[in-house]
Amino acid sequence: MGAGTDRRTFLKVAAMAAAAAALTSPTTAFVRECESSVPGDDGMTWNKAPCRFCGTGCHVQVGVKDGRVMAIAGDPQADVNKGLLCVKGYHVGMALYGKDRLTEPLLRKGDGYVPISWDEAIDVWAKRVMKAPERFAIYGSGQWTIPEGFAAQKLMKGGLGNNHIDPNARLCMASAVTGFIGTYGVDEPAGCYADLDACDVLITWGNNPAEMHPVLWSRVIDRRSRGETVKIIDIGTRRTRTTLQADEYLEMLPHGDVAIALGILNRLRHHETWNKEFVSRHCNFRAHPEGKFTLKGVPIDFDTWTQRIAKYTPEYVEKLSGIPAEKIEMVAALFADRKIKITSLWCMGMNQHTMGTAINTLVHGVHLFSGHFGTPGDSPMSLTGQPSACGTVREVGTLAHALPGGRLVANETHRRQCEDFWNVPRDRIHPKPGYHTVTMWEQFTKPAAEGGDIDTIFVQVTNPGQTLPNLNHLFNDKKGLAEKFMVVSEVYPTATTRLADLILPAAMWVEKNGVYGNSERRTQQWFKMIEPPGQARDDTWMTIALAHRLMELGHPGMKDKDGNFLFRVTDENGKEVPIWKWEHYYDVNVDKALLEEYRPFTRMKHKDIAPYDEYVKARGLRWPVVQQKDGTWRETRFRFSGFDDPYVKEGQDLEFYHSTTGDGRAQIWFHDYIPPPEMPDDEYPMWLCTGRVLEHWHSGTMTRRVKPLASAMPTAYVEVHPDDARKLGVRNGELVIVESRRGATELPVWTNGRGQPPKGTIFVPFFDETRRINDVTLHLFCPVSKQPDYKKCAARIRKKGH
Amino acid sequence: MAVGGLILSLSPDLALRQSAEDCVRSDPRLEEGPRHRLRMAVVATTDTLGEGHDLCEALLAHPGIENLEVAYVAPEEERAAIVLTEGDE
Repeated sequence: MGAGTDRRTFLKVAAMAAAAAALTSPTTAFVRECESSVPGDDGMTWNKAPCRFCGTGCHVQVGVKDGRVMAIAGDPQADVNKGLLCVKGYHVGMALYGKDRLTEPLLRKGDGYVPISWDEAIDVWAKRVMKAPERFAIYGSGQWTIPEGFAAQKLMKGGLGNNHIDPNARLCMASAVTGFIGTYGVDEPAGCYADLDACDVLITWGNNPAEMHPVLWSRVIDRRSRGETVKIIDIGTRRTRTTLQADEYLEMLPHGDVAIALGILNRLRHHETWNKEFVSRHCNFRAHPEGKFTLKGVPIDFDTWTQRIAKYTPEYVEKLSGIPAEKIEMVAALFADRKIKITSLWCMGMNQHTMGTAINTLVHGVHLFSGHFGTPGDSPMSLTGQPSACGTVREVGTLAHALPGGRLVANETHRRQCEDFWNVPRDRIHPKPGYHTVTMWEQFTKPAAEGGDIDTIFVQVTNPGQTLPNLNHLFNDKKGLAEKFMVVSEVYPTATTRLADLILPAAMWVEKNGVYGNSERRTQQWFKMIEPPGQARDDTWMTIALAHRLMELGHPGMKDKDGNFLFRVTDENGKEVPIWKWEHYYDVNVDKALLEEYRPFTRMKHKDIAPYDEYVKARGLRWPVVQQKDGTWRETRFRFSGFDDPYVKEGQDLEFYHSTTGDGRAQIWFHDYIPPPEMPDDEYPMWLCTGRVLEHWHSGTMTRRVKPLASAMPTAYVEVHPDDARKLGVRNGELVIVESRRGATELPVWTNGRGQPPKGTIFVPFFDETRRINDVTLHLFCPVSKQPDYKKCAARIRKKGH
Repeated sequence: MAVGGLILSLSPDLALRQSAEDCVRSDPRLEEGPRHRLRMAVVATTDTLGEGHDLCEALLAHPGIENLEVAYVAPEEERAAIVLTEGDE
């Protein structure tokens, strides 16, 4: 047997073992008691952590040996994934070990970088901030842990009195936030993943969970394997792997979802099949005031709402959406059926939309108007793309207009509450919202002489140089602007670090303590398991070290009312621990201290989280988590539902206790269909849609360094309909230029591939930093959520050299 | 040469399921592994990653195969070429 055959045999055995292990729960060899971290016979220490990648929040078991992550397994005790993982999850440990990890602080010098010490790095950064604290901004992320986001939030709003902090989650789920608040008066889903186990019908609205949330998708498909019937309706602009398993595929024109939702409401009203009892008890009707877009709108009566919805007949909706009238009737008939349970699922498709808030509230409205809400399986459920978009962005409120606990900077009472919680002086928090993402980057990349009033920006745990839309407008202009200074905390060189002035090497995932909050309101904790490479350090430490240096430089905001350091942490004897010094950072559990400081905020909107130590024991708990008479802590699966939510008044089956109208009711909205701001024309005749792929997570900085994932999907591509490819004279695999009015990128053509767009539409994933499709996309956004639309703009393809 | 560990979710429909099983058994590149309910572990051995990719797409297009998950991918040699172009000429 030759060496090649030996290796092949080995690989086949390994492949079969991996596949067999993933068939059901992992084998017992992978299962360890995570609480005790007892080393097993294999010399490995196992502990629990949520996966580093998407917002599903799967728990993995991490096997560590000799200071290195050696094995990853699905956690069978985790309610989210029940031992399963997707292909990214199985490889999550390998994401730590790319050859080009950043290991020392680097300061730009000319076209290159020079290594500097951490002390120098913090000093350079702090002096830059001190020059003009009001012109400093932080751009963070839904990958921030909750303590990281809370620390950044406190530094900015509670310390510097500066609200210019916004996260990349503005780009992925801001419209879901405004949709929930506009409808229920409070953010985040009422239901949970258990809805996927109970629904009879699952509608995916512009959503491809088979690739983007595969473990959740497996939960649904596994039900079919057990003989259960789950009807899947896929509403999308291109065929995907989700479509393969759909009973009905409704291929809509881009933007058609708004018309479809209006059409369903129209049919329910027309046929008198709406749920009158549910609506009369639990709902009001709402619309924007004339000529304005607002989050909370104005009341309208049912007759007015009926008049407005009347024009969205199936025939009219067919014109707007491309969906045949009888299919609109079919979906409306499902919603009219009281005997079945319907769950709607969505993610970026509905959120990255110039009518993002509108379509979100309309889908909630379809569920409310039909009464498909509030029991297991009847649920409008949004998913998130990042592991803590909910926990850190939506709950900690790391958005330019928000404060922790659902508080708002523009609300004086809210500011007072937060100032009291933080023990900082009155009027420390600035009353004016800061810049949201698009404006923040416009202001940073615009010369000061032209009004660009952000001078220094700190980018933490995200990659705007690849993920912002219309990069030539929002990011690439930074090049050559000597007066602008960008500090980037990162684990690898990225499309963002190429323009950074100061690069800070960061610890990643299990190289530090952490707490995430996933898509179903589940807060999840993990402990540091290994040391970060070289001089890489925790992101929370960076923020605290900056704050302390600012205090030393005399910034008054870095002290509380009592004259103590803003991030004062004490040991069990009450003695302050100098956590701003790296060598003392792990003398105490800073994550625990920050989470306990944050807990009182969470009660303000009944999103109560439990004490830190409860999360150490659990594979996450869904808020509100309330203490029982026996001292135990109980999570909530179905919010607003009397049978489960402790905050619903006794005797009520359902109560929207944060209703914007103050009467316990949710809002059913009307929005008129407004065409997309840019549509194909003679010059740019195709629709461009962008998105993700199974193998890579977002901008690919981690997964493209995992060889099996990079090999399986090495490069971005442009999906083209075969007829369009023929017309253009391009063949499968041929390199073409995809371009819009804003920019261009070069991509290989893929016809009849995994995703199949209709004629006139192309799709490009954004994971590949060497082929940046966001040089091409549009930066126009929803007027309420400020979330840009990455799903549709006008583009064209041309052959190279033509 | 590339080796992949796959999990196929087969159709609950008996005829479609049997057709999918026949498809797997008749393809010399595929080796059937253990089963759990309607899920089947399969090892795919192909000359290139591109061929493996195409094989996965072909399996997914089979009416008796509802889902395909990749649990393991091992290229025998690192390739810089674009997978999408392979096998297309």
